[in-house]
Amino acid sequence: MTTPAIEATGLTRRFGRTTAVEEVGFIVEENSICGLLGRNGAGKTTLMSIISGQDRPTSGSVRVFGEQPFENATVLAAMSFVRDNQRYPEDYKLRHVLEVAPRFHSRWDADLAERLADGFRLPAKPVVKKYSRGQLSSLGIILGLASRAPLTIFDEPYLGLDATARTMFYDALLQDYAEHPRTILLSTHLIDEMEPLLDSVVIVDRGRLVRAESVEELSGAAFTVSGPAGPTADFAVGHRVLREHRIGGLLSLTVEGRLEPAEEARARSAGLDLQPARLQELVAAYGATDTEGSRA
Amino acid sequence: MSAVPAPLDVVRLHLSKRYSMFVVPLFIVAGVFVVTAVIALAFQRLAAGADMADAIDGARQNPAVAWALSGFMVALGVQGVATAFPFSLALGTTRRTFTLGTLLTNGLIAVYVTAIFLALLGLELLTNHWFVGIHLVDVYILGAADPLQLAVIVFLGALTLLSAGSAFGAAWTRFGPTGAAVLGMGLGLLLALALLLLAPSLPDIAASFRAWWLAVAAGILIVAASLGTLLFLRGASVR
Repeated sequence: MTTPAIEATGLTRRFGRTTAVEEVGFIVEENSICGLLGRNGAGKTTLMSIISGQDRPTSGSVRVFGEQPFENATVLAAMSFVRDNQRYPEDYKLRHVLEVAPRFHSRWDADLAERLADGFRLPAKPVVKKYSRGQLSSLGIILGLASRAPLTIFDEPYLGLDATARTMFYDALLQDYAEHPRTILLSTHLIDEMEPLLDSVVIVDRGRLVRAESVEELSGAAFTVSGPAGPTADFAVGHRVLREHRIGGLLSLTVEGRLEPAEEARARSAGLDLQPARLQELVAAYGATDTEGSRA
Repeated sequence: MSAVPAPLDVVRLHLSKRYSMFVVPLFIVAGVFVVTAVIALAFQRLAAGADMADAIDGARQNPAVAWALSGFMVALGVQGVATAFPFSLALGTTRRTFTLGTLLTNGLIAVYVTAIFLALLGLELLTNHWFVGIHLVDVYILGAADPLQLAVIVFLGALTLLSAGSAFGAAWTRFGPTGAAVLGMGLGLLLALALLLLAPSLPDIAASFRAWWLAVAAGILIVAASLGTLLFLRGASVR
């Protein structure tokens, strides 16, 4: 059995009276792409900070490649974590970043970095702190991909990027990952766009783990049923409804669980529409529970 | 696994800011030179015919060039930690390696400033005080034209100020502006308390004072500031 790339157990992080992460545990297998999903403030960045050794948990533990990461030179050397609001040294320009980064990442691919910088059209003259939101994201992507770090962490890497640049990122990520397999953990809200890249997902909400499974397992984890409000509500009795959406007399429900053939037939005969819930819908539904109300 | 980043890699990260590290000190020294020259020439015109020995002694009391760089050295130390630390961690460095690399960088800057001062002293003596009796670095506070004393004073002075700046930068990174303010006030209080306690013995201390005490004090401050930097950074989360 191989050691997982990331193994979190009972992770809790409190900032004063605020609990950012509570009792979170999950495993990310080596050489896989894992999406960390959840609403704003769900605890994604805090989890990534702890995994990358940039912060310490209040309780619980995390092991990266079998070792705890905080102040662990060997583990940290195998990691790249560029935050969505990453700060750079004063006066740093693009060339400074590209000159310095290879000293810290022994597998750095300078050609890839140059190609991506050209592709993203990153300007060389201005200092990095004057970069736009999209340009900062591009620089973060370059640092992460060109590092070839055995564990590369991206924190909402697409912020401010236009559609062309995002496609470029996805293509570069897939191509480089295929040629140089490694573990990639990325947080994202663009779930529909990124779902094809992901092997597994960790869904968190309000600092707590909701689900941690492979994308394959999650694909049948919920379904949506829609139709006239009365029959739709009747059908959902006995199921856990994660989210409901009403338009006039029509009702659409996201329901947790797998649909039995008999139930499917019952829904069809009642004239209801059934669809497997997309990952995006599932995450939105989990994020909506307790705010829009869930019922069984 | 990958090769582990070394303190020298952190030095390289810091040294990318070549302008503020290597050019700004030259501008500051040049500025002090101009002001010192103007004042010296003005005094020479005012005191035409007066006792030149007194005038030279007065000029050698001028500590301007030493003080002018002090604030900049502290600011450079603060900036080095506060802005480079998050990026260094993003690249997979430990806090230990970052602190050691920052200390080495501070040492390198102190060597550079010392070299500037030694070169200036050489020029000053070679040109008989810039041809017109200007005392920029041939001053008492910098060893009164003794190159060895000047080198020790400038190197240890610069490294102490840079290290103190790094500690303040680390306190700011750990606790925000309040951290740096509390550290400043705490040190001020400690100094005031020490002064009050030692006040009765000050004449005796002054009588037996030796210059090497300052070197030892600087060494202690540099070590304490570096340990403080590491301690603050160990508890700091990057946000």
